[in-house]
Amino acid sequence: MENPSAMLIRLSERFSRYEARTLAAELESRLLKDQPCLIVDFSRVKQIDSAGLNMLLACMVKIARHDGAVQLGEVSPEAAIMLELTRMDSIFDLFPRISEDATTLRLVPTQGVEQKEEEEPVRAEEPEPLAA
Amino acid sequence: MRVGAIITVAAEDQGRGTTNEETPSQSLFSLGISPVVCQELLGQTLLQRTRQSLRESGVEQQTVLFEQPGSRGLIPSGPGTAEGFSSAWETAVGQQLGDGADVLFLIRMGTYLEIDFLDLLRFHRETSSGLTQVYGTKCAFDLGVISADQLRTEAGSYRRRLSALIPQSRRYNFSGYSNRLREPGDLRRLVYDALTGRNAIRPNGDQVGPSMWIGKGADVDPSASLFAPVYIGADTQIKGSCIINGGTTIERDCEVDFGTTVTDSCVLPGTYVGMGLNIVHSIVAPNRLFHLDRNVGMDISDAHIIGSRFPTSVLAGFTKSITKKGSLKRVSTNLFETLSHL
Repeated sequence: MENPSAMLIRLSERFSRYEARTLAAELESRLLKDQPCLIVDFSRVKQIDSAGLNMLLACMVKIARHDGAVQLGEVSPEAAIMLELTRMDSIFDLFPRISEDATTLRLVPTQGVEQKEEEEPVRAEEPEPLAA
Repeated sequence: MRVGAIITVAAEDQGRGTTNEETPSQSLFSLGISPVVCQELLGQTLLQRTRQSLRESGVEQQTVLFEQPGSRGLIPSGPGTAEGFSSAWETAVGQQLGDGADVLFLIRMGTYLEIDFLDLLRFHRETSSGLTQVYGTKCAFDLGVISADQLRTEAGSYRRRLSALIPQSRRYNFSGYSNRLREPGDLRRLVYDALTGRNAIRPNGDQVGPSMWIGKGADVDPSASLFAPVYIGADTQIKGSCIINGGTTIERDCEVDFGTTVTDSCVLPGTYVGMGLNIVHSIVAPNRLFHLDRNVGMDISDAHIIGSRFPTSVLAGFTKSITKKGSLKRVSTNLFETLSHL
């Protein structure tokens, strides 16, 4: 999938009201472009509450209005339980791994989520297919 | 013949798995339900059920002791045994003997056993042994019978006298229903076996249909669906459009909010389960959930999803006063009294 504007969000261990609010503010302007793609890395998430889940839903609605997509990758067992419990596993696309494929992933710098050192777009050298 | 019983409730160490493979999050302690024999299951604790079974076998004189972490085995011994517990155990044995007990059942409750106490007693008398210990197919259980005269004859602590008898003890082979109750899966199996009639545990409630029990004061909305086998505990509320699928137990004082589906799960007493959820093959306690398929336990900090039906002791007293006493004046007095102590 050619998607030069994919954004990778790497969530920290806790994703609750405060983190969700911070992230929502950070993403506000970025989700308005055409066909935005938001990839959320859930690998570190141990706790997520209804505010966090609401924020994800709100993002999905906004992105869907611009023909974009939200994908959840590397979902930790705890996060998977919460997504199943709240039936949100049927709403989002879940992937066991996040691939930095030939497209460009931009790690969005935010206060409420885990940040990576480099904020420049990352280009993967060895493409890996997304395992559905 | 006077028969007494000393029941020791086994303790589980905090953060310690019971097997090498187990991590703390996989133990029953992680669910906040340790000791498990004191956890109400199907309307009654296993301790209550065992005591009832002993009473039905004519054992009226019962002493219950709560073990402290570090103790192991039928007799309090070992380097980790707390001094306080050992002396409490010695005192309990002394009291039972002083009250004229001829035979003593020594029971350490960790594993759940469905044993015929009368048959065990008969075996003990027929073999004329000082000590009889119950054995399963693989190992000994923490359950034995001792003749009181063996404890009265010699000097020293009862613990030492009992330890000296162990090499000459008789084996009572037990092949009935047992459950080690070490992991959340064991607890779930015990409850499911009870619902399906595979063990002797009978749900504490009115049987309203085949394999369907409802406790006193439970309120099930007419639009909710229940599928057998199922147990709804006393004073539990199941709200509209909920689906409670087969193999589920919802203990007393719980609330399952609108549109939630619960399948093949145990909801422990006092739990609030939020709206529109889908609970599958899990054990749910206030603010905690253990997923049996994933073998993962987790705290749930969001009380809108899973929490306590009575979030604080203040509210618990408040609600109870409203529902049971109906006196607003008393409620407000109680509330202010409680708040003034905070």
